[in-house]
Amino acid sequence: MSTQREHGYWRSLETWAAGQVHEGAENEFPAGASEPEGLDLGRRDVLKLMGASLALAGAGTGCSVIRKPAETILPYAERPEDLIPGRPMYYATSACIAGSVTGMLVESHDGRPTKIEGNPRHPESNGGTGGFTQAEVLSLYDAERARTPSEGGAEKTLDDVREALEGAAGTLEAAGGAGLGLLVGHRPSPTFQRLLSEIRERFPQSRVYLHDPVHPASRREAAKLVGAEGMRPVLDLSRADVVACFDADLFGLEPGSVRNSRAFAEGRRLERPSDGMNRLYVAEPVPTVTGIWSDQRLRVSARKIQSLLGEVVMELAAQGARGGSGQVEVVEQLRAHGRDETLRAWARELAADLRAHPSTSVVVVGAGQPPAAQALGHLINEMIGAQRRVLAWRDDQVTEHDGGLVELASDLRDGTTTHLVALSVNAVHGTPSSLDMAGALATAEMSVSLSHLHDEMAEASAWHVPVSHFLESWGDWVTPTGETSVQQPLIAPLHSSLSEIEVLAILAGAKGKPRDWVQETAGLDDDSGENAWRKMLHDCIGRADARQSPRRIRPRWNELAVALAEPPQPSSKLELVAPLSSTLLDGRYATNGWLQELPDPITKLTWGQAALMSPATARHLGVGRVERGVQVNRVEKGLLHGDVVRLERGETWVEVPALIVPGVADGTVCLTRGYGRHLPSVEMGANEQGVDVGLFFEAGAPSFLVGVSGTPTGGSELLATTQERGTLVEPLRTAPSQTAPRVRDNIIRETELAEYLQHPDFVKELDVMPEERLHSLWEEPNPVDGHQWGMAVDLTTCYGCSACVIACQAENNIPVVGKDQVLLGREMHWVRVDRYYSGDWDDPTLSTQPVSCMHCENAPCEQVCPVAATVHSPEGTNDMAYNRCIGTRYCANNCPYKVRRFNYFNFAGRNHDDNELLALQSNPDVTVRFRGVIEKCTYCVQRIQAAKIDAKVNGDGIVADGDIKPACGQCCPTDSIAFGNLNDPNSRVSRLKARQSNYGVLTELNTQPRTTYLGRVRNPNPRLG
Amino acid sequence: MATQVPPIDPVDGRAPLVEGGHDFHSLTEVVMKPCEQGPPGKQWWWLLGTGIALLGVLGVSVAYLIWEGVGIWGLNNPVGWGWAIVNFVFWIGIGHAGTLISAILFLFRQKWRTSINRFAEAMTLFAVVCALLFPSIHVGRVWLLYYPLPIPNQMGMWPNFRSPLLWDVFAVSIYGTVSLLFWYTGLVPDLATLRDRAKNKIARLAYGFFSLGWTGSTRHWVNYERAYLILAALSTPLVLSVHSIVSFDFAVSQLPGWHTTILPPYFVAGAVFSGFAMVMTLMIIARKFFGLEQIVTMRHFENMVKIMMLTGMIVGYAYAMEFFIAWYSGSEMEWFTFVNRAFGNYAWAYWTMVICNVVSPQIFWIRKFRYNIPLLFVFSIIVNIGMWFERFVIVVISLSRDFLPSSWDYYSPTFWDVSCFLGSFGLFFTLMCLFVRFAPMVALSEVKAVMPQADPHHH
Repeated sequence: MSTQREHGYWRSLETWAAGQVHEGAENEFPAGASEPEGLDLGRRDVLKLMGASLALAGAGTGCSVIRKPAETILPYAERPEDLIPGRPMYYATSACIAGSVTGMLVESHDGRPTKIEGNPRHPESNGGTGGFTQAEVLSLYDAERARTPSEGGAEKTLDDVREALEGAAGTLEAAGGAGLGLLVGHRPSPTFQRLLSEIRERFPQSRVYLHDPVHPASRREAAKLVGAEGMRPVLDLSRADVVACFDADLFGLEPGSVRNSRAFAEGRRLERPSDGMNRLYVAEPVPTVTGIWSDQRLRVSARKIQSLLGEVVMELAAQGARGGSGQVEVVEQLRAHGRDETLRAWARELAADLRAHPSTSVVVVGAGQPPAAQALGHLINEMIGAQRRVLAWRDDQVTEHDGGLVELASDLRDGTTTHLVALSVNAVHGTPSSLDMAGALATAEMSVSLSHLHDEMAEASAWHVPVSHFLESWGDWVTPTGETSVQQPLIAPLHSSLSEIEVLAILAGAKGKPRDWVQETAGLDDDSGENAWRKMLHDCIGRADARQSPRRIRPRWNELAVALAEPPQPSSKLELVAPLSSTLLDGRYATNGWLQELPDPITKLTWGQAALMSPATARHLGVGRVERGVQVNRVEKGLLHGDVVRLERGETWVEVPALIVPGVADGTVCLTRGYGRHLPSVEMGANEQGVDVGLFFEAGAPSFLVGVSGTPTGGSELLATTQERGTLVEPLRTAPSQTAPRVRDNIIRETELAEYLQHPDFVKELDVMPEERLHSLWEEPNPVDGHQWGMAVDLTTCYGCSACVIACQAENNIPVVGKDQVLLGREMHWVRVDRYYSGDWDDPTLSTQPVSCMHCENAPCEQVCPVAATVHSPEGTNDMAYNRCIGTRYCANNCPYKVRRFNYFNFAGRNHDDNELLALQSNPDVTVRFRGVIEKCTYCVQRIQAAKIDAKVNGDGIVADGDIKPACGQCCPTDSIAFGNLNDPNSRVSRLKARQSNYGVLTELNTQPRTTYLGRVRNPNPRLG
Repeated sequence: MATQVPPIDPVDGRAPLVEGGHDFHSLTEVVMKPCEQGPPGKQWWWLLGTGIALLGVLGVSVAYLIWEGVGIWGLNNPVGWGWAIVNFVFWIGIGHAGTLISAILFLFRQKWRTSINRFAEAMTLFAVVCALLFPSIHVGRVWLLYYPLPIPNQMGMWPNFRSPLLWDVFAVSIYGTVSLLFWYTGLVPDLATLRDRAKNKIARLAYGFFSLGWTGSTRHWVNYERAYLILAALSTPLVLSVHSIVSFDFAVSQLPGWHTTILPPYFVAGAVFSGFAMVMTLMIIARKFFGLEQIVTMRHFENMVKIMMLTGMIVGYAYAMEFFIAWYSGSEMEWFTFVNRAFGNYAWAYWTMVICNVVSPQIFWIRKFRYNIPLLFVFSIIVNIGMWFERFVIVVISLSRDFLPSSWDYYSPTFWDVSCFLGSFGLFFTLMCLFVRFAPMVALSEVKAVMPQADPHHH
């Protein structure tokens, strides 16, 4: 009624001034006059009041969350060109993620990046991405991201930062830049390097320090040791027949894993049984995804890797392989240390196999191994002629630098460096306690830390500046093979942040805008380059950099022989191995909920860290308990209790829960890096989570060390695993326990190549009920018209990297549930990657299988839903109508694959409450589910519909094969997931399903799953048994 | 009170059903006492108080449940059904004895039923109320609970008639309705008696309203007898069908341990077993409190124990047969499920069930024990515990470990699981207390009809 003042006519100033227009005077027959006096309420008011009182009485604020929030729709007055509301735009960009330059296509809805996809044109992606890349879009909207610059805790503006940096630069310039230090990571970026060299010109006395946990100095030292300074070997595994990894997670955490795994997978597609197959040897102390993929895995402690490599060199030499000058001295030196009989047989057979495939075999040694071990790997590669086809020495793209952390610490302490600018490098967390970087930083006159979070480094520095995400800033990158790719922003910076090159530009005194610098670096800043620049922006890939072309080198081995002079020290004490975390990397993803909740591919551990050890080591330490003669984890009532052990070496000690993992070398304890963060501004679970294993390691040391002692403290901690909640004993097929029925051999079906060649249909032998004996009581609908969707997963090329889990989470708005809910068994992932062991207790074979909704033709879930909320589409997909679901969970109970997930709480709402920015990441094409409903894989039905609409608008309505890629299949680095129309006999999925190795899981239940698997074929060396 | 060897009923030559030489009037006095003379002592207040307190616990638990989501229970991904469904089946099972006693024994002309049938029917009704509570609150979105009902709606959506849960909706609601009608029909003559004897206006009006103008005319009696017979005939198949259909929730699914054809008879036998146990528990208390020893005699208890021994052994047979079939089927998954039940990480629950349900009834082969009231009381509670565990074993153990070992998990109840279950007892006892206070707990008119005086011919 008061609105009448705004909209109605008024009669006089008096009535206007009175504010309340008198109904009686305004209207002879006012609305509601027939209603009782004193209750001056219209029908709508009554309803409103009722609604309000119900809301107060019942669900209160909850109700307002349940219902759609009121929103205002503002149409464009002038629509930007090409922008159709509701249709996403895709932009090509690239970035250096987890140490790898990656090309990607980023989906943007109304200006918000929502999903990162692989870029098929980019040689580092080939359409696939790793899990970190998929999770980066969440980092963009990270609630914990620093939002404003600060100095000593006081908020500042970016202008203050510029002023401070320019002021410092002005002061330092007079002395030639003496005192200026820059701490940088591995940045294969032309513009970055150009600006850095401009800084060096302006400040000749300045010093650059390099620290990058993903690209440790040992790689460069190993190259230097063999006379290939400034070079590094880059692999082309598409031609490789034999690949041997020594403590190298080639397809997991090693940079370039996406390119390498795709190339390697090409050698094991087995389109025809006669195609042949490459072979992967892995010798490693702790199982990795590379170990999962291996055909021949050797469980060996990290300290013995060098001896193993020595054995291989000796065997190769004995077999007559020649690797160049100095080899003889190396072999002599190795012989002098004596031979290790336990490794000899394996080394001999590997050497023979490498020799048998000259120039198509290659060995890779992990960066965590000492330079001498890596140099031995280079020697082997030279002896087997790897350089001829599968390996190329290229520029190592390393920033020219004056030192690393050790030099930085001493320079800070002695006053050589007084002004330090750190560009997204955390020198405090994960670094040795002996360096006391925080103390060293405190001595600087001015220290500026550019970083994603207000982290340990920011705390130790005077200034902290938030760094722009790559989706917010310009940049450029060079792939290991030399292609330039551009990084273009999709969104203006969300917070007051600067990119690394912007900070460099301030110091270099460069004028203009980041885009201009990148364009200028590419040499495309004049009019003639406009077309090339536009094409580069479109494809993200530019021309190759000539400096990066392969160079044939002749390594020398004399220095290696000298380096090998010191014999390896035997030790009976424990060995501590500290690889990067497969989910948090070096800790930079500690605030990324998707990655925190991503089960580790091997341990299936989420939200935390554990000391991994073999059953024998556990028995030795007195950890866990004995069940049927085997040392197992203590699983009580579905909760895995990790016995806390105290790991000690000298002054340094940590206390961590232990997790017994078959396949870890005996005498080895593994603690991943990236934990034990101390983030003062962060409230979520990242803090106080695990321990910082970096404290144990000297700067530049290998990532393992010997001489650690372990003692159980008597305490225990709960570990949130997504598998083995029920037990650890039964899933091992040949475990001493007989309670696991043999029938479960047919969930993952695998065989060896020799067997496969004789029986390409080996999977059929494992059928409990052959297809012809499965009868139905009624005539089954078998639609043959139109599209019939199906999926095939090639287990031979799936190695459990888990990128699909994150991709699905990003695409389908899947909430993060948190550690307490994972402990309760309520994680929401639509795709899970099951991991099973087979074989020995101590030294098992690992197998993985991604499992999501199978879209059964004869779906048990559909039958039992009382409200028909899950129904079959005419195209064969099993659809969920969230609006119809009342949450009886009967479907989940009746699903034999247990792929249905229930929203036990309002998980999505909780996520959005924790992080209001998360709404920007949500995919508008996918419903955000409220509590109380079941959800599950939809085959990315939103993508199917989009492609069908396109096909209908632009053609005959038939979707071409490959036009639809579900999120899991799109990102799969090895392209192991094929999706398409089963009615098209030429579609990739039809061709895969036509193979004899095609099988369905639990088909004896006559569920007729639309998702099937191609049995896993391994190619072990028959002579190694 | 005559505690010596009771005289022989002159009509049918057996021990009389009502002891103590009651005539019609003294019987009326005994039965109507709690309704007419106010709260029957302190114990009743205590029981009602406890019931209301527990009902409060239920209220708080359900409110919190609806506010927060079913995640407050201990459910997880493989185990989507936990205590709520266990409790549902448990209460539905208890709700079996009443109709069985009233309807089936009525059709079989078992005259001894008359002393306990009213009480058992009331128990049935309240048990069904408790049972209905659980499936209603266990769904994820309680506010859409009407979706499974076949109500014409703007969405043009029918429920899914293939779903056993929908069959459940029909079976349980029909059972509840018919049980209510049956119970109420039987009450009418007794309510009229209460009306006639009422000394205050409110009681007279209230009982008058509910006795539907009963005058006791021959025509009324004829119609009443006819109606009662029809309702008995209608209820009889329902006794068998409702728990059969509840068992379909499990039998129609394909989960090993659920997917067995033995479930319907097994569930019905189990339901009768647990229903009689609950009748016995409550009857022993009520008989003591209200001095009904001469109406509900040891003979009633002996008969009930015999039925429980029979159904207990049927249940035991079913346990054994499940094992046998699991082995005989040759399905290794099925075999695993049963081995896991008996020897897996829930073995304690399985053996609790076996000891309570199969072993404990065997002591009643000895006659002396059948006449030992304290022993019977303890036994009836043991059976109820055992039958609750039976449902737990079926629901939870089967779900916790099924086909793909990667998904296995363990289910532990939370505080809220327990509070909802305890709270449902609050609802049950509150209703029970109100019933014994305001309605005749013995079917007076029917008991009178089986007394020798009702058949006064001379031989």
